[in-house]
Amino acid sequence: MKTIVALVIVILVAIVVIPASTYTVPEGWQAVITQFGDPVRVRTEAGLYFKPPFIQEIHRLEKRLLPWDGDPENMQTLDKKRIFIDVWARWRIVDPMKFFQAVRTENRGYKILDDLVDSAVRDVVARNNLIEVVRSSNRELLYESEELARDAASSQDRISVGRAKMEAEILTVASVGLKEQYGMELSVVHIKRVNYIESVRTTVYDRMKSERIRIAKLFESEAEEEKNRILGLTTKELDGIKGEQEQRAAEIRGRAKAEVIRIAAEAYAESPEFYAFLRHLETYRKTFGAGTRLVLSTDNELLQHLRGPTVGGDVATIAPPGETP
Amino acid sequence: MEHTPSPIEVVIRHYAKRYRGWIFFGLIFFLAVWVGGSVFYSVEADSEGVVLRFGKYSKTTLPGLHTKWPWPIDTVMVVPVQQIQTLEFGFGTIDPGQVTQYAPQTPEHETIARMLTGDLNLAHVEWIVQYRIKDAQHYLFRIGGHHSNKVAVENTIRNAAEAVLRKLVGDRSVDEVITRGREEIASESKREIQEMVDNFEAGVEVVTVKLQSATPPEAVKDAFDAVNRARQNKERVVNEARGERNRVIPAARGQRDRVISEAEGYRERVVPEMTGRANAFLAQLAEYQKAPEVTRTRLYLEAMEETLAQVDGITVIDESVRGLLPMLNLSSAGPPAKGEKGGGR
Repeated sequence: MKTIVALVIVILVAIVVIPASTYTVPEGWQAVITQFGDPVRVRTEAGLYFKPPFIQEIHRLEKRLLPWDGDPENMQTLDKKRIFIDVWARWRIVDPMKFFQAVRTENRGYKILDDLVDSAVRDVVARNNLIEVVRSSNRELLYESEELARDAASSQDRISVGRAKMEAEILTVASVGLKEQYGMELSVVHIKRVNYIESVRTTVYDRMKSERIRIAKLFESEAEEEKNRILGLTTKELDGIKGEQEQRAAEIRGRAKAEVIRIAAEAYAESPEFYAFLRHLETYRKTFGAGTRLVLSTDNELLQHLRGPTVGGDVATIAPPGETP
Repeated sequence: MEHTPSPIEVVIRHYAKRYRGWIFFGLIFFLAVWVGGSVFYSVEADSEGVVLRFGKYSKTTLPGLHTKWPWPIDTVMVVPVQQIQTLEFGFGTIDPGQVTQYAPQTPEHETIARMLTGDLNLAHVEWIVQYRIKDAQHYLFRIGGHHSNKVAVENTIRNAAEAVLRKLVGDRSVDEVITRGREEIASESKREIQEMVDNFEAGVEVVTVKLQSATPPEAVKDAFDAVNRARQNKERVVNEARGERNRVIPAARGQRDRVISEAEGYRERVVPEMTGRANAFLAQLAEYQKAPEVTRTRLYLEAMEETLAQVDGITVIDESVRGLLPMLNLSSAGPPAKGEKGGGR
């Protein structure tokens, strides 16, 4: 009987007292222990711990890196551009005791960051031009055509701050007092999205369109330019070829004719009279024919014998007509 | 429970005595279920098991069947370290089957994909990030904020990827983003996302970053296309002009060479011809000079014979009948000039 009673008591203790007097801190977590509501100690290492039963309470808090993702906020840059900026951050609870006292839960931690980070972003963005938010370096922008590059070069602003520095600045501004007051620490802030507000976006689209259409037109006129240049060169070259053709043909023919003249002159110079004689005879042969009617005077040498025999007439002296027709 | 605790009463004692066997059996059964269910565990081939003792990390186990202390002493978390996970940005896949089905673009997709470029233009970029878990312990215990580690870590990767992509796009012209810069953006962002998540000790490895599409915004696509068309048109027009040139120039050269050859042909023909005639003349002259008078007469008369045989008619007029001339009907005769030649003095 006594033993059974003892056993029952032991089991009761095991079931009720052991859970009430032990607790675990899981990996990735930390815990704040309160006694009658007052925080009395902190456990930052994972494992099994003992506590006085019933009077102490365990509050587990994340030890891991925690996200914070802001909503897109409409704000204005130094150069009066209205943009939406969407920022995210990562933070952790570095002083669980302070955090528990000042904030108590992670959800309230997020709320605190909402205000701090948003105002820090607004603050830093308002002190910088849009280009500083967008660009991270003064790396040269490359374009598909020289014209676009030339355009861009004239409107390309150099940055002096850049995105990375702005993010660091936001981090600094938002972190002020965070640890001391709340036991929280921001590890990074990054700009996730930067976008134009709706109405500006339309004008940007229009600008992009007109820029491109201008380039398209430029290409069209360049095409004409190039085409005409090529065709002009072609005509020029054609004329050159034609000229060379005429020149050389004329020269060759001319030299040939000159040679003909020289050969003829050399030969006929031997006896101009005989040449003239032969040439006349040939001319008669060629020019008189069917359809020719000759009216001859009896004075004609050919007919000298028609009137009577004059043997031994000096034929040579009565040469055929000397003048050529 | 297996036995009912009760106040110290005879009844209890009575029942306890009576059902002692049953109570013992119940206890054994309870222990068997407890131990069997939480002592053995298996780790799949693509996974690792992370064992916690009272919540504290104790060891990582490889694929296979393992034993551990029963709950609540040891717990195990199995992490699929080999699996490659894909995160989509700016679009959604409904069914990644043979023909991938994409979800319609939502405003949320649109917001993710729309980016400001370095020249303050806008571009539309859709991309994927693939990752796998490289350190199960880090993966589980370094990134918090969500009861599911997968959600917490993926959320971190997503944030990192968006920040990095936009940073890179923000440092490039819209032209670079949509054309030749794509590869560079992908490889550079892979490196930078990895660096960022390593700083967070997220325990993941970025396997791939790939730009699925990088285009100008829908509203200005036509204008960009117009530029491409104009560029291609320019190439076409210029090529046509070059073609025309290539067509006419060789033809003209051929024509030039032809005309020159013809002129040369002319020379080839007329010079020997004249040489021949000159030689013929000289030969005749040589013979002529041996007997000039008689040759001359002979040649003359022969020529006259031939000539006069050809003409239509001969009218012989004596000096005494010169008055007759006006009466001659010359209508059938050839041109008077021709007739005169023979007879003219």
